[in-house]
Amino acid sequence: MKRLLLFILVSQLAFAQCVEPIDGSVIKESVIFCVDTYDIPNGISISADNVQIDCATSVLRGILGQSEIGIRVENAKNFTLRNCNLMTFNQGLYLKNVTHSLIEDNAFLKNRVGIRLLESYENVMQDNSDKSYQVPVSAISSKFNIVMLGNRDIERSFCEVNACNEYRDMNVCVSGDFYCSDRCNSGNDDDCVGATPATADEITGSVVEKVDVETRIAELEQEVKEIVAQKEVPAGPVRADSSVPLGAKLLFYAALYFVAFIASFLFKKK
Amino acid sequence: MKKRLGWQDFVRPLAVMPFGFWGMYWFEHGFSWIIAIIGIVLFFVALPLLVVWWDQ
Repeated sequence: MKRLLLFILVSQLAFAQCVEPIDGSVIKESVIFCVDTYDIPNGISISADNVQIDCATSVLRGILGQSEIGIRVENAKNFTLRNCNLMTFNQGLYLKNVTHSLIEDNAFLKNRVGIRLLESYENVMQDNSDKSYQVPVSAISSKFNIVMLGNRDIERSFCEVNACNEYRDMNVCVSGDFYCSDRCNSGNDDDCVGATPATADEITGSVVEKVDVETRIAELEQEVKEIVAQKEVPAGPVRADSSVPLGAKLLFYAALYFVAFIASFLFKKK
Repeated sequence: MKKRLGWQDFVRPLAVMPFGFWGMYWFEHGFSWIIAIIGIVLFFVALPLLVVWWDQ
């Protein structure tokens, strides 16, 4: 009987293994978040390989206009993010120097940029819903990623070197892009010469040291042009989306006519 | 002596309606210089000129 009770207690602990995200924390192992709404204005960070985060449909919320990044992943491989609702950050998910990751079944709501990719390669983003203010996905110096949103198509310049909206076979062994994939070798990719297939740390070093400054500036300028072109909210005190109900309009016109009618008699009497 | 209303009395106030449409358009779409200039030219320049020069 004691053993049975102990087993029941332990099994309850096993079921209750979900954790609550702590604002500003660094996660280094796989976790499942307890379902709730969490205010994390400083976001959370991941900087380890093979980390899986399952938000279990939790809402991770920042402060609109103040919180910079919701989930920051840097220098990691095989990162997985599922079932998260990230909202009101400047950048919902930020991937820097991340490879072979899976981002699926998440929702990015009311962020300025949903997913920001920087020097990230061969990641898969699928079945994510996006309702960002500015752009759903931004990719700088990132290639061979598969970007598929569940609720909208993406047509941006980075789609030339990434697969957008549908799966596409991509030759990842391209010389001169400072990236050596696991699938490449020195025979088919010059970037692998003198290097074993890249680890995350190695990619960091090589990219940061070798990226041509002018190429980088041109990419950033292109990115800025796209963001400006796609900016939805025009500058200035413009009320672009204030449609007046038809009934209110008719009432206004009727009132205007009535006032003019009265005024015409007043002026006539004088 | 009480005067009966003629049809002109009901038509004349309709002259303010274009101003109303213009104002409503402005309210809905926000301020823009092109709308301001077009409205001023149409209502505050062209209309008075039309009225003054109509019979000349």
